[in-house]
Amino acid sequence: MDERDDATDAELGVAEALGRALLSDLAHPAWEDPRFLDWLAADAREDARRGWRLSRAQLRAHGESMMARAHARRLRVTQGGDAPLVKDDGRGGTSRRVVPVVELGIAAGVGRELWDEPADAWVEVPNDAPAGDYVALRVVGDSMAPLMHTGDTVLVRRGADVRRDTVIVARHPDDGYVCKRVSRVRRESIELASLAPGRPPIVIPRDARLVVGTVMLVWCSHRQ
Amino acid sequence: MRALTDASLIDAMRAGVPEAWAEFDARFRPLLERYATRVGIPRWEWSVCITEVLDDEALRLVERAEQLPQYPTAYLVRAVRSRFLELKRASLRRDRRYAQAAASDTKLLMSEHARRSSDPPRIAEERAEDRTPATHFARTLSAHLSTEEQQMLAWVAEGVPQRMIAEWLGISREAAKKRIARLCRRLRAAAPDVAALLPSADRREIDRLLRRASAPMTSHSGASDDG
Repeated sequence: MDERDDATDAELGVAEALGRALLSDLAHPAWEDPRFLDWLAADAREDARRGWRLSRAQLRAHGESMMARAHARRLRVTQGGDAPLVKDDGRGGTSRRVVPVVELGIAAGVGRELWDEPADAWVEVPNDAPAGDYVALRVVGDSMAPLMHTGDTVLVRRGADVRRDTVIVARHPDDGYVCKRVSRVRRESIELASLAPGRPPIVIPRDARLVVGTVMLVWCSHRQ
Repeated sequence: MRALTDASLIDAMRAGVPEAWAEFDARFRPLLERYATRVGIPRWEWSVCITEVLDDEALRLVERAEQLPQYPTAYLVRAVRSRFLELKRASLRRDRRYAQAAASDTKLLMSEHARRSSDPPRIAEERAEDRTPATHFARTLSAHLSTEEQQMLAWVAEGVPQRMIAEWLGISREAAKKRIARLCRRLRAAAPDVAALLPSADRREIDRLLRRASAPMTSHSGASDDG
């Protein structure tokens, strides 16, 4: 046997193929070793950062979009760009589904129903949205900060079923309509939390008449 | 931001600082991309997979009130792996379902894509490759190796660089290179003998596996490139 000190590609190939066959899917010992990971991480980071030339504003925008994406994924909300606003209310016999846009702030606390307000804008419901009764609302306030901002439009599927880790629109007995994350569902009450830090959760009674529906989609115009 | 430790970075993320989230992404994404490349996750799957894992885990780490994982890098690598396995299992399940549907009378109702992907012989070929015969072969072969050699083989397969292996074993880079070469050569020499013991159906699989690893083994002519 000759004592060359490096393997040919073919030989390495065999070893790699065999090693792979030998490793079960769940055992990757090298990738469990923190020393190896630290070493590789430092190496990879230097490599990647050489190509990274982001201004502070870009960095901020990158972080914000990541936060929004993470929250949207967990709360099962789809993110969209500009809202597909249409001028007419779609009564002209087209097959598009069109729903009115209602200002969330207007009906606050007056005791009127949300959809009694006259609408001056309509949006088109995306084709892939499941069948159901939809209404679109314009968000006011920054309590759901990374995910929704003042002026965003949300598409709400009406229905009284409430699940944890979704975003619902509900009527607060005192504060009018709120759009919040469901953090806990109890037998007699629902706890709603904001996404922005430093705001206390609010508790509303668990009553089907208080729940408008679940947010399915956010159209956020100043992103993407 | 770059100078922060992992724990204080996550504290900043908890306070909702967007730059901290961007830094989290910049800090861990390159590592996960390398992991995906080296472990052989197909490129068209890893970019989505890694973005989703980073988003989900960032949120989970931020909301976790108790202690952080001791090694966040290892934690994230594990998360990527399990996400990828999940995807793989889902696609296997889908294939199986298509195959079942193809066998039944509903074939007419299936889409073109579903019908094509349910072509039974092709599935059998593709799946068998990295399954039983190869694993069985590799086990038989590695029974001749010492524990250290087996570990080395695993490292080589995982794409760990040779200088890292040397550092682990506590030997010089030259020595590690030599040891790996010797191991590879031994495996290569032993492969035909072990393969001869297998039933002929399996041997075809093994043959294909080794050919794909650029080592023709039906004859010993492959050894001539040593010169």
